[in-house]
Amino acid sequence: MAELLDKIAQHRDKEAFRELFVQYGPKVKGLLISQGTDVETAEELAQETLLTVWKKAHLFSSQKGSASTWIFTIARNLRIDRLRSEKIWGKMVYEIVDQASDEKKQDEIIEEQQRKKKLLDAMQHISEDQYAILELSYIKGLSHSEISEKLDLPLGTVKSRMRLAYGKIKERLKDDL
Amino acid sequence: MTYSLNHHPDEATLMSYANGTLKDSLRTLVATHLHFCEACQKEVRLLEELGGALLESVPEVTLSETCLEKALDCYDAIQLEDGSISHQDEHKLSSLPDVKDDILPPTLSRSLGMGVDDIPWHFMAPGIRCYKIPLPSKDQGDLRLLKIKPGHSLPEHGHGGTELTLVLQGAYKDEFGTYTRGDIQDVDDEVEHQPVTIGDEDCICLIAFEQQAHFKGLGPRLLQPFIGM
Repeated sequence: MAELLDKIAQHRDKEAFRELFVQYGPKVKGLLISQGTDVETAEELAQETLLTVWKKAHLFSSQKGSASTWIFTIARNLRIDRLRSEKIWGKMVYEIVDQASDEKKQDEIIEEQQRKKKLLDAMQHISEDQYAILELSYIKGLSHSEISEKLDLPLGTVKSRMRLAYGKIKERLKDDL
Repeated sequence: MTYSLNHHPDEATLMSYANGTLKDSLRTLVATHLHFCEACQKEVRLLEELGGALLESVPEVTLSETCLEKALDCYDAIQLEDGSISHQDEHKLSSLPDVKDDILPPTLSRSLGMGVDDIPWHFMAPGIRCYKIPLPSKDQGDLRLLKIKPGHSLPEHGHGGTELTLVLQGAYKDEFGTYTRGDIQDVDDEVEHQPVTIGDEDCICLIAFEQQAHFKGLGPRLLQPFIGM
């Protein structure tokens, strides 16, 4: 993934863009639909997400997370943007955490792959209940209150399961943090 | 500038910030806290990584046949622009005028279009002034700035859902601790508290409710029509 971004950034490699599009377009579209976006808008936003990735490939730094993380955050921001009539509120608040660095090192590619593997592995070690809440939050795009209603659980329980899940994941990644 | 802070958002709140499920009121406040807090910026990055990893497990939905072709057309069109990448939409924010302010971080002052001296404060109660920040839509919660003279208490209240308070100037204390510039207090509807401002200067706070706040007691209840809570 990071290699593809590198090719896109350095050489404007069209084949690399095509590959990235085929690999991530359907995932982003799937994510947006599961978060309640209609099919047509989801496709439009998926396309916009990948084009944004292309335009900003030179700014990507895997030090700040994996490439799929970056795609996830771009899709998130575009979705929030689309939901708001005044776009400024959508863009404004992610400004701080969204500033990509232009420094890039070769070993970052390996780092990215290892880190993602560890993260996926860490997620195997949380309970089903905790995983279910992560899915509702990240994939279904539900707020704490909406999750609490859906699962008929007190708000405090929803939040504590999120904290526990995150705590366990962090524990397994602690050597990398 | 980042500070050494004592009070941070709940990790569950940061998680929802990272995956975009916080209402605008809360989201704006968390972003303002991030301006002060490197530790929470780091947490948010990791929580976003979780999103990236989960993206891999999302059921894919096939894109229409023309979608890739259209994207490639755009790709070509952008490449034709004198060989350089168009940055015009990269930082739309930068087209907003910079508003330098010592109290409000740039994320807030720029979107408000003013500094703290220009805020049209409204009377809320003796010693307390308030400015309700307009949000894109009414279902995005309630966001306001409060300016409270030293030694004043806010009306006791419970709340529907989450309430976040961020100190921008001065300090206050309540049953849980003392809060100064950059500190955030994150409470949900199971908590009732009674903040009192301390120190010599006015306390300016950004306060965000997920839903409407419920103020208790005769005095505060009578005040509700003034402040629309």
